[in-house]
Amino acid sequence: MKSIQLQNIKKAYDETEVIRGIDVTIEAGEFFALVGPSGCGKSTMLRMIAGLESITSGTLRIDGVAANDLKPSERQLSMVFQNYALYPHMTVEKNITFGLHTKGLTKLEQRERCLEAAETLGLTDYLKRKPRELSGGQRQRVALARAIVTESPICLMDEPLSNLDAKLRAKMRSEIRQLQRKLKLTMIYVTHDQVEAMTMADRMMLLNDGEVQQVGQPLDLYNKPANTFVASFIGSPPMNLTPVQRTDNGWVASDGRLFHPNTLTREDTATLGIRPEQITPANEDVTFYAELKNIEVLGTETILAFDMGGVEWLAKWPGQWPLSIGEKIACYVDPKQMSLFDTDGNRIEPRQPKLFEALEVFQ
Amino acid sequence: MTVALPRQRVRTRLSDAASGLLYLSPSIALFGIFLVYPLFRTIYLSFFQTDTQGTPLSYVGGEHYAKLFTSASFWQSIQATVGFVLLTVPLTIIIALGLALLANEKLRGIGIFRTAFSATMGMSVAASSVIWMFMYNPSIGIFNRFLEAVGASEVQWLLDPQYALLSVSLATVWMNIGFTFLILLGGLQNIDRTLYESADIAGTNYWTQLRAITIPMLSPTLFFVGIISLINAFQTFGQIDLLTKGGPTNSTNVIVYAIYKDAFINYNVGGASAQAVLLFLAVLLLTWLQFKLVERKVHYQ
Repeated sequence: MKSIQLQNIKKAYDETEVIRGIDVTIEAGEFFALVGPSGCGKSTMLRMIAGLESITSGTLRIDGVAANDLKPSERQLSMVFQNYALYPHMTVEKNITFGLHTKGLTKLEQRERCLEAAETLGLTDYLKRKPRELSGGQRQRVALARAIVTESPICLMDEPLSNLDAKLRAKMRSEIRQLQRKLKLTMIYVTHDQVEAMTMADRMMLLNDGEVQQVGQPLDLYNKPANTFVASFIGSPPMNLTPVQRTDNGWVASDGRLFHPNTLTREDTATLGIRPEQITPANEDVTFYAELKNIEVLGTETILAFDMGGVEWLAKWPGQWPLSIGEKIACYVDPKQMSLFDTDGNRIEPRQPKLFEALEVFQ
Repeated sequence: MTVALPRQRVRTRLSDAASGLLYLSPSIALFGIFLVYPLFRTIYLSFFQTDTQGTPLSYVGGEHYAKLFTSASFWQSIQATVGFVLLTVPLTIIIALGLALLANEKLRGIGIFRTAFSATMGMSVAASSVIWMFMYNPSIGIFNRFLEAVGASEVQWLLDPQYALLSVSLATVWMNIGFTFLILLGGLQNIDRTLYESADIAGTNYWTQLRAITIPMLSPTLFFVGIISLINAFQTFGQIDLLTKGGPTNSTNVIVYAIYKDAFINYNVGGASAQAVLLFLAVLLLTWLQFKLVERKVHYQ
């Protein structure tokens, strides 16, 4: 098991900076997901770790050793490409064993390893086939077999599931996760799909425009998004956001609805964020009333759309609700579940009980 | 209604065919006038004795063919043609492949080299031949100047039967490199970069990647270039006419040049037609063989 350390890593093409200083340590044996919208630099970062792109500045350490100038083959890693990068003219077996001779393995050892990897991934019957005779899912498995056959301690994956259909993707998600655990791989997994990252990763990093937005466990990003970008990227549907003004009574949205988030700040304007699943049907306390603009009944849950200060908000209620458009509903939100973001979009931490009293006096 | 329907269908099909033919007619006309008609006319003429204008006078059957097989000059021109093909085709492809591999590297200013390497494609055979004629010139040409400088005796490049075919072949290789280079470079650029990146991570070296990835992935392009070059080499005329006129002592009298001489200088149209038919059959057979033997090793994606 190997750890990977990135110290102020930057990448620039000519004058344009595409990675603007990344600091992160990926622990040995960790499943680390790199998430972000397309063009955010996540693939570039992975390729820099692999040694396929040069690092403009900063230090990359693999197991504590500076690795900036190491060749890709010297970094003890394997990589699965988005298009699988299989050799179309070679059989599955040749594809899996390609390059193993450079590790000083005899033909017999190569064959043994290949059979073992094929066994793990259920490819034993396909070893004599060419990639074009395989289905998308089987090709994906060949790419995985090729990664594990090298027994490299680090595995890099660049959107490996994006070419598969939804059902197969869900299956491969759990297979890859199990494989990583079984082989104790240090995994860096690039994806644009936040569901993949949330379900697979031990920790994840959200990138936007070459800058780190937040690093942490998936639930940290979900529960305490560091800024409005994280809030709107993580979660499906994403967090509802609307601008609010401070008044003596509390925070008020532009349509006059009043909120009392459990947060203290000196700001006069802020952005209020509430997750759709935290807007629940009101029993006694009502946070706000909403007139329904749209209803989607999905069987296990019902998605309700309504207007909040000029922004469309969504609420996710569990179960099937026989509501109709135009109907008024009463909603409740626990004040502790409300997030406030300052004018720069950064999260304002909720007040701690003790600090809160001290500040109350101060005010 | 049930009766009218099939009739209508027949009519639509007929008018579809008519409009299809109308669209094809320019191409059919050109193809017919300049390719199909001459081909059959040539086969026809090869069985006739003609006057100097090429008007058939009397049917002679296979006499022209029989004469050819016993004619020393015909065998000489076959020898020259085969020699020319063997000298030009492999050398052109190997050099062009080497240049294409170099030009495919991602380097600063590589565009200049790509332009330079493909530049001969834009030069006419006549202009290139004149350039090489100067370079081969025994007294002012650069080749003899060079030999002189290193102390070797000078060579009559285009006048010595020993060197003439080689000299013409070298000039031809140079002329053909541009086209072959461009096609091969295009083929190289079509190869997915991630295949090499994956091989880099696996730790294979440049030569393994060349042998195990580049050549197999390039094989359809190499096959195409091979066939085109072979056919081209069999049909070479311009540089022979400009540089050696088939001489000295018929050593560069390749078959197309021999056909030209027989038909338009010796006015033996029947004999020339017979040679043309044989050349056609030979090229047909070789191309068919190439498809049969080589294509099995070609990997199409």
